[in-house]
Amino acid sequence: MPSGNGLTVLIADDSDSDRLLLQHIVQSQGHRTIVAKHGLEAIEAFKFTPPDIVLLDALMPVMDGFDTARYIKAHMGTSFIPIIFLTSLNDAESLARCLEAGGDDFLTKPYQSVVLRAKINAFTRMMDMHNTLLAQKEQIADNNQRLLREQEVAKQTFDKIAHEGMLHANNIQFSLSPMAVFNGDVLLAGLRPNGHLCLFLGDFTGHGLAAAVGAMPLSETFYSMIAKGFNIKDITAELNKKLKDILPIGVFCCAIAVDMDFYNGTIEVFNAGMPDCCIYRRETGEITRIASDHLPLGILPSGSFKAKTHLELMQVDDTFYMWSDGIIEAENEDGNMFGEDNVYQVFESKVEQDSYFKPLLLAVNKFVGSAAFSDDVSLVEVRMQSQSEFDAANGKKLPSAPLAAMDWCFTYEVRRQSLRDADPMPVLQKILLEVPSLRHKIAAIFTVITELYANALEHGLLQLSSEIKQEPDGFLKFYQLKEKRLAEIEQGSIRFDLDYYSDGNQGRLLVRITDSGQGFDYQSYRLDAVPDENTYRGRGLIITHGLCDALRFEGSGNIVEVEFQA
Amino acid sequence: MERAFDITVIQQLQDLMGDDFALLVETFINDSSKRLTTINEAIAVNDAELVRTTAHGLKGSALNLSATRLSEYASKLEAMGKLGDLSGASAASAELVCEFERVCAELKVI
Repeated sequence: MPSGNGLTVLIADDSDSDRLLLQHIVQSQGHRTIVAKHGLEAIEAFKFTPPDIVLLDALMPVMDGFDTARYIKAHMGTSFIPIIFLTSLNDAESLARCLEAGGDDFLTKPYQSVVLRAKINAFTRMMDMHNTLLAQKEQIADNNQRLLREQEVAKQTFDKIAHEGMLHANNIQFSLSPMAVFNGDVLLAGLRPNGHLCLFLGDFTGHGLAAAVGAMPLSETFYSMIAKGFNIKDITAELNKKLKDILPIGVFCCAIAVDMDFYNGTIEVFNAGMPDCCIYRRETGEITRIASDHLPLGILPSGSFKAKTHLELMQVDDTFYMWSDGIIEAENEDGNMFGEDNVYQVFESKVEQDSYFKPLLLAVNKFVGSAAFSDDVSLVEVRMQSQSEFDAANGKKLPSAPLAAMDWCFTYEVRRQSLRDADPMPVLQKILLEVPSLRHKIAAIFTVITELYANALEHGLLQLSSEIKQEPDGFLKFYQLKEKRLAEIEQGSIRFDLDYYSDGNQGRLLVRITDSGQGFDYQSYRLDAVPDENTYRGRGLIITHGLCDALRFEGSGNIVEVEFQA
Repeated sequence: MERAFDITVIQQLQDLMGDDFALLVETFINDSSKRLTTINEAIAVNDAELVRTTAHGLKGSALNLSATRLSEYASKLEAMGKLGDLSGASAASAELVCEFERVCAELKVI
């Protein structure tokens, strides 16, 4: 209804001369007219061609102006169609009736062209405004719809990447209460190939979508590195680098990473900018707090970032707790914060010996009362268990490895300095875990390589005799001597040659270990012999032989090669 | 006696209507004749509501043509109809008819 092109005006009046006159006035002002002799005709015309403005006589036969006005107002939908009552009524009561029926204005007889023009112009402005408003309202509604749809799609992707991993393990309890569709706190848990349980609790600055964006690469990196056997120092260093690269300035991630070793009963903790986390020692009721000693992730350039961790012993059924600052900063109606003191008071209350997870949540919720949480609130509890209890409850869930190369070799030589300080096994494990077809044999392969490496080092390089071990206190003596000789060693190396080929169905792994020692008389060795005191000779070779598909010595006995069909 | 119309209003109407002015006059006369008949019939059967609405319509149309006296007489009848007392209606109707004849006479010479 562009104002320049004139409007369509519906005129309903039972008086022929008045109608004729009004028709001429309206047309002379550049508008189109539709005429009706009474209300029913007006409604028929309204249905056929919706007008822009209606001029309506109050008193008409068949259907009067009041009923007609009510009908039109009820059926005009979202458009705004002004109704001007034509009247020579002048008592207040009659005029009020017109307004109540939905009339927007009056035109009194005698009709005055100037007055009608002014009224139509005023209503044209109102209609323009109404239409602008309507268009904007529709746009806002559309935008909001689209935003929600997009967020839903994004959330699906997000949930796949930041999946729950091992969060449902029997020894973990957690609570995450997000402020928006997306959570600014991220909690991840996964198993390393060595059976350690790793958890990561991160708190991004801000919340909602902006915070969740950083959580995606973080989760992906965490899970992929966990599966490859990296430790939490390596993982947090990599996460710091990644977040530093991608996050805008001022956005960073406070984080706690833990590595739980059920076999040895230890927990390794990394804390960067999160509130203190703690171990609750069930037997003594003691609390061991572990404070942050790093800047949050995503601030320092990777060159200046050095991950430090704390190693703590834990007894079975000791519990570890970590939480985001949403708990400490939770405010009650008076604007007071819950605070760290209140958290530790819950532990001191000693009401619950077994778990403080629920008491902690209860205490925070009770404190906050009817006030609303202003930040994402996360609380996590992890319980120390024996390896067998954990495995029994959660099964052995080795993460799936990506597709690996099918035809490759790898050489890794460990030299003097590394022989003293470094363990070559993680590097080899990492490589071998990339090969899916080796997975079901991986435990045997690791055992064999570990054994042969020990042989190469202790017997080949350091010339230790395993006969020492037979003596009383032999083991202690043996290892003291090993330390001594390692410290004195001037030169020497042990080389691993890994060779793998697969035709897609059948694969073969060759592991060749070469030490720079003098070797031994392997010709006199009978690998198929029943182990006894004479044949055993400390080399553990009988057991080793049983675990692989072939084992042979070469050179002067300083080279050993094992074969695995997989 | 003063004019039945405001001559400036009539001139404005002539400008506005152009050739259709004659049609407007004809329509008004036909319309009003019918209304006068209706009013007299309504008085005869003592239908006050019909007197009220018909006189109301005539009042408005007369105003639009600036026939002020005609409009006033119609208004008088409208008021009687509204009160439901038609005792003076016949006399008022006679006045109204008389004024209408004067209006018609003047309209014919315009």
